[in-house]
Amino acid sequence: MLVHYPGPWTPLLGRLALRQIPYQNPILVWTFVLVVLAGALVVGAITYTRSWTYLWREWLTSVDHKKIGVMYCLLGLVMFFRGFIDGVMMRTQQVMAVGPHSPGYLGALHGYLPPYHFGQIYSAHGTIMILFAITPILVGLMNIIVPLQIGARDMAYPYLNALSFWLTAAATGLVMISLFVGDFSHAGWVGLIPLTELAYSPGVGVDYWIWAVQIGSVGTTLASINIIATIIKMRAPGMSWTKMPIFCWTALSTSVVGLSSFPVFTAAVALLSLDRYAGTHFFTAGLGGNLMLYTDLFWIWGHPEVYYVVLPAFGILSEIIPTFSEKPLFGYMTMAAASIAIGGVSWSVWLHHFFTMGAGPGVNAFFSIASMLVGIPTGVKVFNWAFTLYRGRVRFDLPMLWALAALVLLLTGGLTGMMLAMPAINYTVHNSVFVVAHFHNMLNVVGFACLGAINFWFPKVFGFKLDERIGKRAFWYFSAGTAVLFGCMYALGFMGMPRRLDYIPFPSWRPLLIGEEIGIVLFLISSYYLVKQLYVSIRNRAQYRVSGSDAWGTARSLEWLAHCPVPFYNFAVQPHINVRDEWAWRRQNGLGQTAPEHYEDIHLPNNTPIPLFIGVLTFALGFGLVWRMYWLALASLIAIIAAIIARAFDDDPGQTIPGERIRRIEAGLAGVLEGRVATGDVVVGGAVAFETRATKAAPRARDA
Amino acid sequence: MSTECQDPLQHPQVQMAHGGQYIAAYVFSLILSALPLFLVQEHGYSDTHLLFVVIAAAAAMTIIQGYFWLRLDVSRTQAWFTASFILFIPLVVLTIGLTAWMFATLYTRTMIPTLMHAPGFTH
Repeated sequence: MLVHYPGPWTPLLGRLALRQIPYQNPILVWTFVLVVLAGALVVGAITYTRSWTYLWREWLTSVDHKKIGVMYCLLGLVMFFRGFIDGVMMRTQQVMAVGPHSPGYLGALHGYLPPYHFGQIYSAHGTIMILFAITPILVGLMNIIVPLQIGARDMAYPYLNALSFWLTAAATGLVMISLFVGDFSHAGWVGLIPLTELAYSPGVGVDYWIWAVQIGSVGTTLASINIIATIIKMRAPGMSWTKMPIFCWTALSTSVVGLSSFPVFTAAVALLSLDRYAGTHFFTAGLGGNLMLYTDLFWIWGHPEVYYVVLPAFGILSEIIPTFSEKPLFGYMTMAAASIAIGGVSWSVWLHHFFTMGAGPGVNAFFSIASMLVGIPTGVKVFNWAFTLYRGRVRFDLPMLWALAALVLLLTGGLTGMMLAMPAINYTVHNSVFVVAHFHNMLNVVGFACLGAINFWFPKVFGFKLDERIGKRAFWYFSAGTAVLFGCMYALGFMGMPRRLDYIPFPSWRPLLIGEEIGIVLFLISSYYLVKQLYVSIRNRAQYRVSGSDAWGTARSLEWLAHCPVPFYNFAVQPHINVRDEWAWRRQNGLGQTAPEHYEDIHLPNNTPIPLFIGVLTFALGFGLVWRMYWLALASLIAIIAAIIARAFDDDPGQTIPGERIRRIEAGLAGVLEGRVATGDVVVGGAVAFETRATKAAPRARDA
Repeated sequence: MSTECQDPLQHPQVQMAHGGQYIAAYVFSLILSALPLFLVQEHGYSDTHLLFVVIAAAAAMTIIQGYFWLRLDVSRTQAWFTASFILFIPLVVLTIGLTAWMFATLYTRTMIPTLMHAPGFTH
């Protein structure tokens, strides 16, 4: 044994034992019951509707970029909810545990969460929200939209795309199972060093964190490679760089950032795992280790990572705002340049996360100036959006509301960011909830943009819009929650409240903590409306059906040329690009949907279950490593390598869809699109990739 | 998806494989590694000269490996690799350079006795 840790170890189960199941904790027991019931409900529903084959054939083994994108978004939304519940628990603990006379419940001295459990909750909240909620939603959106915007039939590497998704799903599975088997890291989402070292965290919590983020980051790196290759190599004929939609520019910039920064994280976490597994001393406090090096490496990735999430959000805003201002985006070239510039500057600002570590004034000044430089391209973007709105015919549809609110949040988040970029201010508010309020403010920009994007592109993927009335309620409650919660948090930050407190010693902070609790209740109401919006919209989908390919009537970029919902082959005829806002140009010139005389055959890749298998095996690998069941880890690793080699010899030529079949599907879709209300299954199936149903739908639509 | 080249052996990158160049690059690498080692062990030059020779050998090795092994040229198939390589240089300079600068000032200011031999410690 290379390292020492408390507790028994058996060759078969490693560190796993029955007492690692937290059945004494009523919160977790009830969560478990809830999860089992919900899981049984889902499995029962799938079995009852006999959808297992359909699920397997059309989704789980799919290499279609739209379906993978939808699964990414779904995964992200589920994790978003999990992370949000963590937030509710933290707010509630903080409002309950104020002052020495506050009562304690469930074994806690104050409030209802003991410090160790509270630590796990904020660590899980941060890790989940950034890496397993926002990132999958954004990668999913890029997956769906980028190929459509550049007129491609799929991503450059469809198989790699599925693999990226299943690796992300495996990592998410590790985070989720840590709820009921063992515990999660209590060292913050950043992995506060040396707390993450084995001597200070001998449990499996940090190991869960390590392997989840490690596997997840491999998935994200692969996804970045795919998006870069897709944008560079797969653009439709005529689409020069300056005719590319702005969302693709941000996707390109963000993927370059992702591809170049995630490996640093992989290396940092790998060294940390060597410390924990092999007894090395890279980041230990003594024996030649350098714990500052971990912080440095973490943020070399960590800061580019926050631009990794904010850049696609900027791209989304740049698509939504012109559509609902009914005019082209102002300053396209500067917008594209700003996207690249933000990606570039992101590499020279990371040290502002540890201004107080003790580096010299020259170093702090350099990073302070570099951090403020980010404000220039971002400012260019904000002015461009403002000038797009200026004298536009502004419509306040739901996606536009989310986008406009994101602009307001960007202003407050950006200005507080400028404050934090000054080392003098940073020394004062360091480690206070002011910092927490700032980055929640910025991540809310991303969250608002994501919700706007889901509302905006939902009809493109599924063929029907999400309910506007319920959606607006969700929007207003969400906005009110943001204002109340983070307004109070900013104020508490100025009052000097440190972050990550499980017990609040000063009763004078209570009023603002109650304010934060009111804010989270508003979020809770909003989340009810978000779920209701989805449910009602799916139930009444025929009523929300969009006719024509342009769901909003004033959209501009190429994805709106494809049918709503998009057929599995995207475009029946490969589009030739004439101008920057291709769809707006075609619409204005009456060139919308023209049926050609002859349809070419379309070549597409076949589905494959190998990415799913590799995902499952990676989960087993991670689980084996967490519990130090070395046989399981080794067996999974060998199986993964075998699967990859086997796949390399699988000489799958893909499938060719005959032009005649495309013609039939297109004719059927045209019937559906002429404004006739289609029956339920035609709509959901539509053509999103539900190939089998789309073909069935064709004759039925003609009969109607 | 692309139907351009279905046979993996016909891929332009595979076509570029050239055993002779690989071996030549290997031999050059051996010489360029052995030469500085020999000079350092012999103490034949002054420190300044040695530094120059070692840096020159390293630079030559980078170019030889970049060209003969990675084939970083401006041909149609390889231009993207060359571009990626060039874009990657500023990242290395930034991350390693700024990190070294930060640690140099950090050690000086935090006065950790065992680390006082760090490059930035001048007084």
